[in-house]
Amino acid sequence: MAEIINIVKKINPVELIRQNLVIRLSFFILIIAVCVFLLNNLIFWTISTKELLQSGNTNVQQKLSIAIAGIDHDLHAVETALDNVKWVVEESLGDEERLYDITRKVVSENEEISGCAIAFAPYFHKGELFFSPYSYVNYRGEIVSKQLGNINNNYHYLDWYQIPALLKEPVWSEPYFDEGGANMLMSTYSLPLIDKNGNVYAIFTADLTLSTITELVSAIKPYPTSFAFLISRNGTFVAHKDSSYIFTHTVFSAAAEEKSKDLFDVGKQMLDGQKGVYTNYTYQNDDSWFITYGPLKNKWSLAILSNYDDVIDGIKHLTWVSLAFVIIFAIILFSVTRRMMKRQLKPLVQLSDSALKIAKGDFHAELPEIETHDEMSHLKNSFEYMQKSLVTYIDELKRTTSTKERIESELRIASDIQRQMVPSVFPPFPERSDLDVFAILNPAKEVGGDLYDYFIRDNKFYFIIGDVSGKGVPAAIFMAIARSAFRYVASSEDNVALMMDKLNDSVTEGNPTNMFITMFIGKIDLQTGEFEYCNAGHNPGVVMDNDGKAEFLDLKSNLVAGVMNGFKYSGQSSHVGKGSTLLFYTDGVTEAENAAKELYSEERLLSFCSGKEFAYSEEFITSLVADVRAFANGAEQNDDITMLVIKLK
Amino acid sequence: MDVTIKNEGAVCFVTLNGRLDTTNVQRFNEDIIPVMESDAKEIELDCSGMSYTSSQGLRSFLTLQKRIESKGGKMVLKNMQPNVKQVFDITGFSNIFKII
Repeated sequence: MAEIINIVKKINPVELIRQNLVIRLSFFILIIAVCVFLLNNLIFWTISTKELLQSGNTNVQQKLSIAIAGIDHDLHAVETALDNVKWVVEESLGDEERLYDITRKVVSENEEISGCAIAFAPYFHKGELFFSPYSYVNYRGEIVSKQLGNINNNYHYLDWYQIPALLKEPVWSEPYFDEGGANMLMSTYSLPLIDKNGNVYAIFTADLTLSTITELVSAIKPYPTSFAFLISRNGTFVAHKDSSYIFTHTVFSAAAEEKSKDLFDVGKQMLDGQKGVYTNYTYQNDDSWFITYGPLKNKWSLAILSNYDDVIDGIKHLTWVSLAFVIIFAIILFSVTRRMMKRQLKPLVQLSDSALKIAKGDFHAELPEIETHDEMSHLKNSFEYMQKSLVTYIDELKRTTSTKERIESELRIASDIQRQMVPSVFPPFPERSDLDVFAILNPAKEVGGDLYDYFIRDNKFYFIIGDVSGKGVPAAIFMAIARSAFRYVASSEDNVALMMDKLNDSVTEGNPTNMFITMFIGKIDLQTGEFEYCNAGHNPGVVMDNDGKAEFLDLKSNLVAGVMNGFKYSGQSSHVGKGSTLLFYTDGVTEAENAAKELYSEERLLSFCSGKEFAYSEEFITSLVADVRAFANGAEQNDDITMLVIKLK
Repeated sequence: MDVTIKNEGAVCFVTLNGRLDTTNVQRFNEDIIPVMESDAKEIELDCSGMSYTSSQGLRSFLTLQKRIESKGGKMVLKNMQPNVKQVFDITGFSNIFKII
């Protein structure tokens, strides 16, 4: 509970529900459970209320019947007491002593009777107008006897005498307050005594103290707020919760005072001697009352007011208890489901942690143990598979990388070796002032298929430039073969065409992949300027004379080397004077491309060479390389570039 | 480089379109495998749409011709553009290919 409060305090609950799967699921379960409980409670409450109201009615009716029976019993006791001694009176007529005795006996033998009189008709007893022996219990509790009637107390005209005398049947009087006797609320039972001729000769009375009955009525309490009232035959209140109503109000005057139509209606039915239930009775502005009423033996009527709220009070209490239970249940349910789900989802959190570790490079991060065989274990298996695949993949990658590094390192070495295979010390002939040679070889990759070489023998400058079809390692190997063959062939041969024949034969042998090489071999007599050369499909070199005129060397194409064994190459000859410059190159120069796939071209090369002034061959090559680069404008160099410049001085 | 191959009886017509350079020579070598393996006795390569060939492209033609000749067939190159023809001339390949 404290945990929940803390969580709620820390974070906005809506955000929490949105972001936390466990809380969200627990919350949904909680809502459903609480809804089911509340619905259940509502149904229970509805049904129970109906049942309770019904049993409440029955309960009150039973209480009413019991009370009526009780009161009737008291009334009956009085009636019986007089009936039982009626014959004694008949036998004692004229005997005053005995008549007094009878009244005293009735009072003394019946606790509930506080007074008893035998009121004779005028002139019946010894010709006297009034004779009424009367015994009663005085305020000290003593039984006192006296003669009631005289000129000032002419009982013959009082109701208790007149009504039963006229009706010739016993009558219960309206309640009255006996100020002369016991100072209590009373009702008198009057039994007419009739002679053989059917004339009433006396009225035999017994006074009943109503305190017992009012106590009985006020004790009727089927529910805490219930109360009962008793009305006489005329509607006068005999017993009521509000004692100021008793004897002073009738049910109708009270209805008028309270402006209660309900009470008026109930009163009519009660006076009518009916038995029943009046529901939705409004009492003190509350219409949740109901009145259960029924007649007494003496035509009085007893009513019990009860409130429905009292009837269903038990169920109300139960409802609160049940609501409290729902709240406790909800709290327990929430924390239990949350804890359970947290436990169930624990592997998910652990897997997520493992994923983070793996992402950070720990490929052997431990995965959580999952004992269930559900989606979670499926997820874990997938995860494990991913981890293994990753490990394998990374191992593979490492291997590949190391292989690649090895190859690159080998290629670097190969590149160095290849660089050493062509002359790379400049100037190559520092002792000669008549010859200025410079060359570069820029492979597109680490190693390439271009080559150049030169040497001086017998004051003759021999040189070769070549370009193997293709690039990379295969071309490099072929280039190495060609370069070694050139050194070998050139060591024993002076004729350039024969040199080419032999070179072609040696590279054509054992060349299953149809690689070929374009080559140009030249021989310049440094004394005379005689220039012999043989071309095997190579690009024409450029000859620049002293005046800055540049033109392509006239070439027979012959055939590239490496294609046809035994091909007879034909040589050519020309003359180059002092101050002339010869430029030889591979097609990496003329076919250098820019981004628009345009070629540098032979035309552009020729126009670059025309009128070019430079002091050293190195300077010329540097500026040509710059020009080609400027043309390519950042486009990748995709072929080896080789240049050889020979300047005669 | 687009290669279209059409077999009509004993003649296999191949149409070449585009540039043949370092970047696509490998694919070209694969594209012409069906031509190498065809039973046609005569192979006609229409080069009218070929705008450029590198030295590696020449090697591919050489390999193709050698293969076809080894099976007793013949290969002809047709409608070559001048700059491409120039490459064939410079390298001397014009001498060993039948170019019409």
